[in-house]
Amino acid sequence: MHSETRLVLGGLTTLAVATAALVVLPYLTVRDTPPAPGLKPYTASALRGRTQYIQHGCMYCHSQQPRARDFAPDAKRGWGRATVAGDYAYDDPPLLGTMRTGPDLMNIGVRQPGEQWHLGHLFQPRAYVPGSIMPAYPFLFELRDKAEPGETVVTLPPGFVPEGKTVVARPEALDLVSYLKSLDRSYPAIDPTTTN
Amino acid sequence: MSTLSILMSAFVLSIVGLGFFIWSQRARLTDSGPEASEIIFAKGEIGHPEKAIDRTTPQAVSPRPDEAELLARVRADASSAQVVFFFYCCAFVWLLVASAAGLTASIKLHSPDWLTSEAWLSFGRIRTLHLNAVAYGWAPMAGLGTALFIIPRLLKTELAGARYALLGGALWNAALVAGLGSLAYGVSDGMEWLEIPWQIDILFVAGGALVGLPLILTLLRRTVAHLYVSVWYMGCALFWFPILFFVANFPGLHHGVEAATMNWWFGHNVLGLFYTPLALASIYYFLPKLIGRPIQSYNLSLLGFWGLAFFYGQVGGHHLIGGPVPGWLVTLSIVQSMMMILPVAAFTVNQHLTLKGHLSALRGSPTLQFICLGGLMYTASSVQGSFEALRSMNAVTHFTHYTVAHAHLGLYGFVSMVFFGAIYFVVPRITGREWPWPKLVTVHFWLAATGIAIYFVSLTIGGWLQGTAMLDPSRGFMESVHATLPYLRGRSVGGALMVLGHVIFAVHFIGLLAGASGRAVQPSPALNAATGDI
Amino acid sequence: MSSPEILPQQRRENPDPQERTTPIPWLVLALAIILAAFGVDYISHAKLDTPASWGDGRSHSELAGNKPADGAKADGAAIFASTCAACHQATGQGLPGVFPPLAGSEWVLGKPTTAAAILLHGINGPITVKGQSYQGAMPAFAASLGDAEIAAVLTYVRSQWGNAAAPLSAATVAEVRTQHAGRTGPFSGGDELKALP
Repeated sequence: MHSETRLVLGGLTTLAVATAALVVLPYLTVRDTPPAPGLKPYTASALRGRTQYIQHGCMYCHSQQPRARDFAPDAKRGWGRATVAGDYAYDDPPLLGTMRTGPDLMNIGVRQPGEQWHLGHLFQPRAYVPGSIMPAYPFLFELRDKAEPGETVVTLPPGFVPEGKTVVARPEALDLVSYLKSLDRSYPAIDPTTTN
Repeated sequence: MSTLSILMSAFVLSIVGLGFFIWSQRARLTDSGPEASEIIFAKGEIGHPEKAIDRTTPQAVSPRPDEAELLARVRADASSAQVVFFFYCCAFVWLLVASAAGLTASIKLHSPDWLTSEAWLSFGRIRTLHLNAVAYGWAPMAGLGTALFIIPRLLKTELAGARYALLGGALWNAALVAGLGSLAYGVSDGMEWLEIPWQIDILFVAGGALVGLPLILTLLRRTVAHLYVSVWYMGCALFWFPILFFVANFPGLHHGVEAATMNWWFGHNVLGLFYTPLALASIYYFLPKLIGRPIQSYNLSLLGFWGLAFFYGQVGGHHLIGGPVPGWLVTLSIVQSMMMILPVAAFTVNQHLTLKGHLSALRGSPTLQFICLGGLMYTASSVQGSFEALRSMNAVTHFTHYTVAHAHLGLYGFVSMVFFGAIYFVVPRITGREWPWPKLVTVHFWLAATGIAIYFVSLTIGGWLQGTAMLDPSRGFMESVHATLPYLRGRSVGGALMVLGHVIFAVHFIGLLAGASGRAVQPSPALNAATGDI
Repeated sequence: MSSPEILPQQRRENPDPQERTTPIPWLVLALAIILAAFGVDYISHAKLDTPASWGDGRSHSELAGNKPADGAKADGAAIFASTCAACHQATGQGLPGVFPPLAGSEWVLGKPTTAAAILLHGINGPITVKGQSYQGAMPAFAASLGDAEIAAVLTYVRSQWGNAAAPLSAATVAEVRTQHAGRTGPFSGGDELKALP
């Protein structure tokens, strides 16, 4: 090869084709898909919790994309129906995830609506789920002698909290749980009466 | 027209276009007769050295062609030595940082209550630090350093504007320090491979441009007519990466599932259009160099290069198989993933033809061992990746540790191995010093090779068991977790060996800089009969 | 321009690499044709007749709702595993001091209408189970589970881990749902539940 122009133009053309397919066409067709009809916007607390979710890298172990029925039995595990573009309309960025070291969380708010469970599980996952390999997040909580009025106390089975101490959830933990509880795509993704 | 027919015609047309493009370059070579071929056949064991000298050396100073070539090489090295040395020093630092973070993350997966008191040490952050220290530290520093060394040599031109590259390298590393700091603190853009906040990315862009500039200037001032295959890969990588990085990090541009497709367009192309070409260019340079034989087929080189340039760019969608992204996009990515077998085969056959009958060179040269193992792992990981993209395979392996094993086969077994080899070759030439303890190179090689083997085998088995458990809804989710535990421990063992290898590598480098001399520096026949190199 | 010093390392190495023009082996060309044919075949078999915004490989029926269609039987064991087991554990034993047991629980084995009411609206307050007192924090499932699903999961719970109480019908759950239709918050604990008819 003698011509650097041909080399560079050729290289830029191949990249342009790839960019057209994987970025430009999705940009034109699905970027601005309107929110699915049952999708609620996040509350302020849930949005702050979403930032916590990103900060602590939850998406490296938990996906947010149940797969299609004839591909994997995700729905049978109670993880919910396959998701569509409109389910992510308020997600910036979308947290689809690439690993299931832990379960899919797209509908964790439906199957795990209890705040207490989430808080205790974040403080020490093995207190509730024996054999779990999820990290503990003790820095989202405070150990106190006594909780102040209005604070959220986390109840744990005996042996997980030092004698005489009380576990109090910090605001970050409450926000994160508020986000997790808001993860709900149990509404129909499309109007059942239409065909395609 | 239906989506299917549009996709089909786009595929067929682009394949025909690509074939024609490659063919045209091959045709031009043969058509233009002696003029073109004599440069390809320049000097050495084949070709017509007398004619080539006038064309390829700036001043005809040398009585012998080899002497002229040597002088051009020496000048090229002198112009790049300082900046290559700086890039390599940074590469060593980031290699150690990334190793420590990676091993910590690995241990945390089977010992989740280890080091949980600090947020920055939690798995989600330390894993991200590992990825970013490799992705923007070790791999580009080693790869760009090697490119800065090879390109002036191949263009028989001094590196123009080396100080821009030096400044760019400094900016880049400052950006990486700031980026890793913000990730540790918890500020992240939230997309894999694109976590570093976009504000800091501006520094990367400025730094990267300053590094690329000298290479473009050098390309324009070259004194050779024919561009050797390594130059194609390195030249294009230097254009591809800035575009990828700029488009991907542009704030406010991407949203919803489109951000996800963009994310994997970027994520896979950093691998395919940046690290891979830099490493392949290194193989194309060092392998024939070390065994003293020309690359056997320019035509296979063409097929390998343009095939990679075209197909690799479009495979990113296979990360989203079964996901909420357009089905045609996923289908296209799967097909192009399989098409990648073609350039990989072209590369493999080309290296095989070159190495054939010269395998004995491997025995005396650990550098060549690193390079050859790297080349083999390129073939292995690419072919594995192609089949992993098929829906039937992907249904099992998606979301499992199997993918992690595959990624490390590519970025460690292939890319890092090649860069290790390159550094062992380059450092004595830019410092004028010899590696003091050649035995340590062999130790490093076997630690790295054994480490990645244990790592890959463990996680591949563990990931497969995890995937099959997850596909059976009658088995609870926790079964898929328990199934992986022994293999996650195995991964830590393999990882620890790799880290140990890196520490030895770094100690050896420091020994070299400190002027330690463990052995005679004279090339001995016991090392590499062909070059006297380790 | 003065010539820089030539290092021994530079002198001993081979010249920079060159290329020969060996033609592409026919096996590689054959591979190219096979792969292109595979590509055409793969694309021609792809199912691409749904809108791009639905995603990869989704069918109309699975997107139109995840509630079991009329006549389909709700799977109590599956609902328990995905929704209840995290707190009450797969063994039905709960977690001491935090989540009460379901095995042998007087609330599970007692009046089916009370159990259904708990599932529909949840509990927030003190409750005693098998002689142990708990700070109840049971979530409400009125919105996320249908009558048939609540009936199925209750039937399942009432028949596991040594429990042997009568099954529940969806009709019973529907009645309880109507009975507490005006309710907006959870029950305030065991005392309020005991007072239910």
